[in-house]
Amino acid sequence: MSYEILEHTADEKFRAEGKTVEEAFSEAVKAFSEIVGGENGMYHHEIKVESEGYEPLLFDFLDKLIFLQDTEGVVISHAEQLEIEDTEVGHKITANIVVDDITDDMALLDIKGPTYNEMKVDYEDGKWILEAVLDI
Amino acid sequence: MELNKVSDNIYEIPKEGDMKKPGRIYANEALLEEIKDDKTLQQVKNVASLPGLQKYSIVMPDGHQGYGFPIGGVAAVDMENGVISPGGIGYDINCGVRILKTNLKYEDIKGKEEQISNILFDKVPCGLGKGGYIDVDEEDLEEILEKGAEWMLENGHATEKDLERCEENGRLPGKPEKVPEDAKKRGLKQVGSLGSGNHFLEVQKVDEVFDNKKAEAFGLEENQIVIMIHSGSRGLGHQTCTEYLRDFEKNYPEIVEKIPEKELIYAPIGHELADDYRYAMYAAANYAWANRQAITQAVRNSMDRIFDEFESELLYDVCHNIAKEETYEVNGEKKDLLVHRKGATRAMPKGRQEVPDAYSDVGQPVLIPGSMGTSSYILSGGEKSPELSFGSTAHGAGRLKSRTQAKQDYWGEDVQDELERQGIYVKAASGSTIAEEAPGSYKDVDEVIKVSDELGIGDKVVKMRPIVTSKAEIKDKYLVSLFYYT
Repeated sequence: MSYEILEHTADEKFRAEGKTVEEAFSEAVKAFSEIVGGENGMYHHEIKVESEGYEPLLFDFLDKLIFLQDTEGVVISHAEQLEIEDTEVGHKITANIVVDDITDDMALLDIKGPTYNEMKVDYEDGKWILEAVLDI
Repeated sequence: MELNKVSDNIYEIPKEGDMKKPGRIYANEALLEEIKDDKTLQQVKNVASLPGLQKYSIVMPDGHQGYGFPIGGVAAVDMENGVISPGGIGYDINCGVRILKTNLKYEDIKGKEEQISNILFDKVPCGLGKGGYIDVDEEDLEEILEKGAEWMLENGHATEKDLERCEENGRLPGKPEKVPEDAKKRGLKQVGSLGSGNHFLEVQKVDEVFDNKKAEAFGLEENQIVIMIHSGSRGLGHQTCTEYLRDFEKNYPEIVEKIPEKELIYAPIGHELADDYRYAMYAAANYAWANRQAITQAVRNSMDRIFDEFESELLYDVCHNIAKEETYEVNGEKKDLLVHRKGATRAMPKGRQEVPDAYSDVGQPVLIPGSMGTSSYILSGGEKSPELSFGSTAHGAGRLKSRTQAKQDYWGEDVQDELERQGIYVKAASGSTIAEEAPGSYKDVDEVIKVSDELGIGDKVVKMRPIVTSKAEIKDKYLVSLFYYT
């Protein structure tokens, strides 16, 4: 339902919330996009990530967004469909990510990687809250 | 937390609990107060629990909170019974700095600042998705991972001197097959690119000479134009670190249980995964040297367009995120150690085998970038560095305020006005861009250098002033090309 860019001394931190864990992860994509400087997009890429817990899932998911940008030359906009299922390993995300081509006139932030620093994936007060720091 | 003053500029956290050795903080009182403001000291303490740690867990005068390890941290472990920790090297493997000496004086470039700014900005990609100056294919990339700067020489993008004046001659024993495939995909189109964050390219003038003899040995003089390049291993290094961090996490759950932060994860040297990471890290370091060499060529080809008979020579290239195998005396015994430097620079004095022949009488150059509107420095490796800090000193002014806080405290126009009063003209697309990088956002580099010099770990040689800076800025979608008039 919402996201916020938070204070951090050297890098970028965000908080994303949702009634469901899927909504929270979707909001995290929007937070990521704002940090990079993305806007609307026209193209779709499917991302699948499976990890052993919710925090590793967030870590690996953010890593995949960064990888997608660098290797396809696109900038992340938002997630259109995002599903999370429980698996034998832990949890799996399947997401349809909307992206835009990077053109010469765009000036976008290059993110180095996700971190576990101050990471949070919690259910509190009737909502899911995610927080993560991106190393820039 | 208990903290004892050992002597001027030296403080210690006594050994207790899980700590294998004490913690050491190299800072004066003012810098120590800043260091106490975040979790740096706790992180110094945490690092002190690493198996095989020698002497102390160290942090430099520009130290600040990092992920697992503090930035400005140095931790040396025994190669025989110690551990390697990716967090002790950092995501940006072999992030580092190089300086090109030129045959230009300040008078030669006065009036051409905007021209220089535009061409550098145009030639050297910065920010996300701008490609790299040099096109390479997958085969080239494999060779770059193995050979580093040597590949650049073989392919006409470097001179012999460029390699001689580079830490490790621009090549460590990297194994390309240990670098994750996704890391290679990320790095393929980025050879010769700056990146974002605090990476930059800066044209500077030598403003002050502190040691005439050493300056002469380095080939530096007042008013000379030098060019500083700050960049690392780009997406390839970052991805390498991320994937190995996760591998370590999955393979050593019992270590994860013990450590206060996941990024402190480590593995015993000699274990297969630990060694795979080490050789991948060396390969990523090779990529970074190739990257900085490619940017060097972009700079040379840019300046050639503006100045007839432009000449440049590499002064030196230093890493500040790396782990190196080095030999030191510990308790009277010569030991082979793995020295982790995260946001710390090697600073070898004369007499050490690591110093290039050209500088054997002086010690290696140590290159310390400042921040926007502030000075940068060149030091020489100090005689006390092997004993006090495993041959290390600071890497540059650490951030004091968050980017968000900086924007609240400093508004773009005020900073712009203040800098203009100092004779520095800043051209940027948005006010918030300038505010984020306002000098007050960074620790005072002059104080950091003073401590390094007083301790004898890195001795002042010259100070430089920025003239033209090219960097990518965050937020507001604007790339910033800054240029300064004095």
